[in-house]
Amino acid sequence: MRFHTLGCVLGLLVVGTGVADAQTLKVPVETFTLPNGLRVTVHEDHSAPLVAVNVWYHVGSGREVKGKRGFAHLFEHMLFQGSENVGDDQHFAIVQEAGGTANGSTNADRTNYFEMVPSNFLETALWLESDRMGFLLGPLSQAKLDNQRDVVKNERRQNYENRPYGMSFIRMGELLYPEDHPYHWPTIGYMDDLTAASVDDVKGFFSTWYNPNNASLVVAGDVKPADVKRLATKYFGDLKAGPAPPAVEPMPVTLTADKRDIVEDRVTLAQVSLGWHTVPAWSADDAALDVAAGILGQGKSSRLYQRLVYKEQAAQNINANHFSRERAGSFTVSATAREGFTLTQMEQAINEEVARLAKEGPTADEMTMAKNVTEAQSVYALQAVLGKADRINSYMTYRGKPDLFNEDVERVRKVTAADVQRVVQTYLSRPRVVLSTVPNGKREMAAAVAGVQP
Amino acid sequence: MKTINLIVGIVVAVAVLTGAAVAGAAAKLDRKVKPVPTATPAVGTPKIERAKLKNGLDVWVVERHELPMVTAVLQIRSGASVDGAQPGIAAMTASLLDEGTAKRNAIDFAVAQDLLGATLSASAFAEQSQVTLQTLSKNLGPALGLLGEMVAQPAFKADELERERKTRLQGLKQQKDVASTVADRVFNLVAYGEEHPYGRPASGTQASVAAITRDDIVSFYERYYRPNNSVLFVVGDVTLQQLVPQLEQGLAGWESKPLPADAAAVPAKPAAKPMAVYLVDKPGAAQSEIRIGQPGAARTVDPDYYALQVAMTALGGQFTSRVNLNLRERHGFTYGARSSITYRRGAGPLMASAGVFTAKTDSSLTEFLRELKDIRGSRPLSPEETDAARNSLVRGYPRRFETAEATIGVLGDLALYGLPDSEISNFLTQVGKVKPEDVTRVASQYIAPENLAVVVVGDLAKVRPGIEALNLGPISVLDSDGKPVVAQ
Repeated sequence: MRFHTLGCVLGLLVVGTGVADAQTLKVPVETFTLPNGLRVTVHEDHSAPLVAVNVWYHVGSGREVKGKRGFAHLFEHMLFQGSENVGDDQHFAIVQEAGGTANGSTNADRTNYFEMVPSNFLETALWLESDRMGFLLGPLSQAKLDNQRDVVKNERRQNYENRPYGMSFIRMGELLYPEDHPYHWPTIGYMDDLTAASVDDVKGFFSTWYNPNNASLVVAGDVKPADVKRLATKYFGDLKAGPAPPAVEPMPVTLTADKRDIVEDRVTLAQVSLGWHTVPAWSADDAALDVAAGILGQGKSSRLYQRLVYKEQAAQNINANHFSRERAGSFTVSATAREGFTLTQMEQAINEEVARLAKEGPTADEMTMAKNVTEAQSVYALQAVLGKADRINSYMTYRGKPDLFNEDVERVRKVTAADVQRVVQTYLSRPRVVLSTVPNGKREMAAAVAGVQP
Repeated sequence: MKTINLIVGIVVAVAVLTGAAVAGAAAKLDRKVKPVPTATPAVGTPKIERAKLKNGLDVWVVERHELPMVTAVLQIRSGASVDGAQPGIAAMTASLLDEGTAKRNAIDFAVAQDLLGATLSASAFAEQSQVTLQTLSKNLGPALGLLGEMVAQPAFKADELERERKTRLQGLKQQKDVASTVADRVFNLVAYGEEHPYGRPASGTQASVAAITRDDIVSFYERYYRPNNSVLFVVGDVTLQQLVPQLEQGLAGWESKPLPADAAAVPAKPAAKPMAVYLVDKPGAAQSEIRIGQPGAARTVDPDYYALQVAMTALGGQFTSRVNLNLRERHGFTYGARSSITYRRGAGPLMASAGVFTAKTDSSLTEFLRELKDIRGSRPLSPEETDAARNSLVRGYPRRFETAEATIGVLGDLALYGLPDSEISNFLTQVGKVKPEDVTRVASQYIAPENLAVVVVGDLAKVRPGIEALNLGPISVLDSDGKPVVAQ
């Protein structure tokens, strides 16, 4: 099983404690807040002459309004098109000539921007980030927006429309969440909505959300905290705070009955995905659900792999994932049926394995694997300074603390077999979404357990 | 005891002082002024320690004690390019290494890994096969034991082979759903020809994968998986002295033998072919996957290599390269366009690629071809573009050593291509010397516009008329395996 809980976790200094083989991740960070509300965290790591500069804005596609879905991500693209003191297309040019890399990404809850440059270019990176935080709108033009609109439409074509099973990922969100829920629509958005985005939308979104008091800056790497403090004050200190960002509250969802649907796609093998509602990230049952996902369907040691791929050789691949986000969580299990096998057989087997885990709970070995894999992955992820910076910002943005590395591992260490059994019983017995992806024109291949037709 | 080599920054910073120093926080910040970098930090190159095991295996160790973990990669210097008449056999052999050993079946092996929190995997690339291990240093002994089982005691049991065969046969069908994969596969075939080691698909064909027997796999393993055809790279929280006895134990029974003549062969560059267009139909596709290129260059220490690095960085190696600024940022045809040379022992492919909006397929081809031609002389790299590409490569060098896996990537190239250790620092001095005229020279030498292979995988009903109107050369329609489709 492979666990995705930790994505990447920080900690330069790792010391064996000698207690129960557990390793403590020591994470040196310093945090301060500028008068305008910008939170700044510094992590020193002098193992390579590199520095990562990473900015999170606490806004994502979940804040979009109907008719403008996909806008937050299109907006992200506009932050690479130049600002008042950084010329058009110069952001990437400056970073790359410095020997660095740069990118950004958007999801439903947040948008991030980051550079990794040689450490002597720290000031350059802070200058770039501060200019687009404070002075984006001057050089904004209809032509630049039109160009990035085309780019983003191509991103949607490449990553969803032209990718096998890509549209099913979008459909699962639409089925799980009601239309007004922030996780209903995909971050990439819809073509008509992208067409509708205007320059005024960019301006409004910027002044509402892209303010220092809705952002967190992390500088990690070959730097001294005093230098970062001086430079962060120099470049970000005079930016104006904006309206206080609204508090983010959980938006739990429950289904009252199962939902079944079919997506037709240019695929050879049919796939079925089951989805259930769970809990937001960091809530009490989050870690136990992560462990349950690993036991059911991550890697060759997982139950569904052993049964459907290895023993029965009926599935080409299987996967289980607990996708817990800021406002709600979902648990999905999918299986791709080989030729000669049906999606109904896949769904039946998934149901049986979920029921078995609910009835018997995990084995001692399964719990040991879950904990040891999590602990090891948490160390492996410490190698890359950019990943560390991003993880610090995740902790800061969602939890208000930069150094939750040990707590993140600890909550998995604390999960008991009884916890896993209980969360499977609690959450995976609820109504679910069953989504079948079938080759074009083959709707009869959809999963239909117990005579239930989609 | 060797000291760490220090490469002093070669990039001369254009450190022009901008007037008087800012006097305290009261001074108004002039944001128009781009900050000047501070002094270039010294770049340490990895200190490589070496040993040879009793069985002849070369072991290279780089100590890094910041984290309690160890990464190891066993490089076997033979990969898909020695598949010969059995495309896919290198890939299948590598996949089967962890699908059952003398001690345990595939599932038990996976469980043993996860109980340690270690990750082990094996795969075949064009010119090497490799086994990769990541483990906490506290578990290094048992983790190396698992690596040893995979390398020295794979069982290749018949039932595990049949299971792997089924997975691969279904996987080959699934590959046809993925336009980018089809485009890569067809490009290699048409650029090199199906007889060439770089032209055959590394994942095999339905016929070849169906026909490979257990004896074939065992024979492939016996011929190529030998200590004297391999190097083990280890980076992390371990010393050579600690490692060697554990390796002697873990790899016991794995012996050197004379290698086949083709084990690390250098395939000849195929004869140039006139420019031609190859189309694969994908009805309803939202994008066309484009591949344009030809056999390119081998990895050597010839000065051309460094000039080519600069040329390909400027042409298509990063976001601000010419092809991406043109096709994405100027025209909005694509989410991203790129070009590169994939270096090999022989002439690896030089290729430009993008997924483009169906309605802009012909326009995208025109722009790609324009860029491939222009850099040869009609619009040579300017001094500024050359500086930008050189600086990007030289200043970006420390990133190549940030993680253990990245470091092993650099070491792996030294071993695979027989380069001296000094190449790590030579790269910086050599790239620093490249001039615009060197770029023009190598671009015109290695890019031959009259010999390009052009592959488009897309909705042919929509894109074919536009492509025909470009009159690029003879057009063939192929299926997703690259076989000609008979005209109806």
